[in-house]
Amino acid sequence: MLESYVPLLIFVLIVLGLVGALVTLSFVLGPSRPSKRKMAPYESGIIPDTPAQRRISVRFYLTAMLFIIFDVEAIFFYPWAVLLRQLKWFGLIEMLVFMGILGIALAHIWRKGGLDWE
Amino acid sequence: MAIVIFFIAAAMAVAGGIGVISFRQPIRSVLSLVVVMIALSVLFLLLSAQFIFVAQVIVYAGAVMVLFLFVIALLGPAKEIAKSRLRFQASLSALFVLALFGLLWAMLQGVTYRQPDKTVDMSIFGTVQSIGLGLFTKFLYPFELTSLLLLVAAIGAIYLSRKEGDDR
Amino acid sequence: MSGIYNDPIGHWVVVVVAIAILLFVVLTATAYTVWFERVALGHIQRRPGPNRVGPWGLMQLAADGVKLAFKESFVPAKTERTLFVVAPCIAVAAAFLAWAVIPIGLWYNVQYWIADINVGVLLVFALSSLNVYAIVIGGWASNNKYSLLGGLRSAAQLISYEMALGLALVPTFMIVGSLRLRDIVEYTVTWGPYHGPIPLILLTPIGFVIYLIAAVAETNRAPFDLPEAEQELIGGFLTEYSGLKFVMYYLAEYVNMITVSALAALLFFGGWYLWFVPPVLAFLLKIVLFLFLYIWLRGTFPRLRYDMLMRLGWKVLLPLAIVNVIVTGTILVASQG
Repeated sequence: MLESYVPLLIFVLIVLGLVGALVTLSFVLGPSRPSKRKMAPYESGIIPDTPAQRRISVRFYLTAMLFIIFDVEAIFFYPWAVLLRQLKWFGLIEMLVFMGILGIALAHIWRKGGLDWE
Repeated sequence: MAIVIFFIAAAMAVAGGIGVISFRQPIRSVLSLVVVMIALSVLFLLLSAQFIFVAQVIVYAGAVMVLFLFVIALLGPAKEIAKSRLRFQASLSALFVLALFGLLWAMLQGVTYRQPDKTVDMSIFGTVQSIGLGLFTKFLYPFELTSLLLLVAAIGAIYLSRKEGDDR
Repeated sequence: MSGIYNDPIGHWVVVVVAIAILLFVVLTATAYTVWFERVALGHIQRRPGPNRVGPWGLMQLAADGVKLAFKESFVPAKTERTLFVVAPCIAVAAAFLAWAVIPIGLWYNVQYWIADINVGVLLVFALSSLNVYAIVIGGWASNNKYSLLGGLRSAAQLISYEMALGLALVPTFMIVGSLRLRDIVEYTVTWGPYHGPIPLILLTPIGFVIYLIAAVAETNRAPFDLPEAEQELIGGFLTEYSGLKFVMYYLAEYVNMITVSALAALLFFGGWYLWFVPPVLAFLLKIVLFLFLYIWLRGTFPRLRYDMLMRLGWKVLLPLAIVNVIVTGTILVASQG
């Protein structure tokens, strides 16, 4: 069983080598003539006077939270989908119950405006 | 072969764990935690738990850690400043570490290692099909309860992120 | 073929050589996808596109590559230096690793794939979920307001469409009963006198539509290319990148495009099966058609606004995908009796 993952391991090592080579080349090839102007962040010619890393909207946080909830839901779907032909009506109904409860969650989020981006 | 990979993954997990607590910038701590998660997924794979391996990467590295990243971005460029150290912090922490290792050692003394179960068919163990069969027949109630847990999480997320005085 | 597989050392030599060939082919294909895009976009906009370097401009990408490799690839001041360098590496690594589970039909009854694993296509999802880091970290480390905003926008977009993408494929898994891409391609039906493989789009047309939209969004392509919306964000998370590091992000984007096209061909259009056409040509043809669709979309549609993008992902595609799962599941179980 685990043997089927060995080619994957070899592939990972080769790809990491390739990526390492690319990054190294990006420093080796090409000139390096730093100047103050060049190293400054490019913000359409306006000289930045505030730090770039500022606080962002709480919306992103909410999106990530909702993503976790539905991602966990999706993870349960895969083994169920693969087995549905064996589980038949029993499998379908138990998943309908699961999806029904999550449907309530989605409806609640929707009604509270959790999916709106103004 | 497997034992070599185990030690590499374990070392990665430990190094990541040390990174989480020792970096001063939150974003580096989060990335160290991602390393821990990926190392853990490799450990799961070494135990033949193939589905758990991808689920670990998809859910923990792909979703939970992204939330952490967003929380860091939400906090802004705050850097942890080492000014409010406790007195005797170094010696105290050394004491606690010693106590922890003592406890771990004591626990490991009582462990009896089980022989691998010969009746398990390793060609299907840990596959999506076998996980599904367990999940949707034997462990049906925990599975259905998970949906309630997710419902609670959804409601909690909505209330946590709404504005002050926003009573929609 | 099987003789080689039983030989303990010969097998690993085959694997390593195959990986090297695969990487070479994907890299070359990436370069020519860029050429194809520029020529096709040119013709859509009634101009010739690149046609000076080599015959039909075919050497244009080699020239561009050499030029970019020898450009200065500097790390701007006050950036998080390590993170700034690591971010494009994650993008390239994740993009290439997805090819580990993609089977390639070489000839009649001869297929090759690097890793034939039980979790199959889920590994592609896992790797594509790591793409978020490449973009957020690149944006965060750049010390640039536009980069940060582009990175975060992109991350929210990727995670919003990832669920729709995953759920869109669930009906396919239900019908086939496996997550291995090879099993999905080899799925055969017996309909009256016909017995053989079919394109699964006939059974899950809605799944395909959701997959198509979500896949375009996942690869940050127009009309969902908000992370690099040049009119409002300069270059998004790419703003501060130059030289080979910039190339790495671009490489990742185009490899992802080819991966998504190959997945679409495998999951919905019968992979390498196409009447009597040789498998490798059939597979290639299907991938090229998808790539053309990508380019056509870019040449035709205006970019969406961010709130429209999120609304489409959460309020249209996600519920639609869930309903699609329920309906397909019910029909499947009912027809099975």
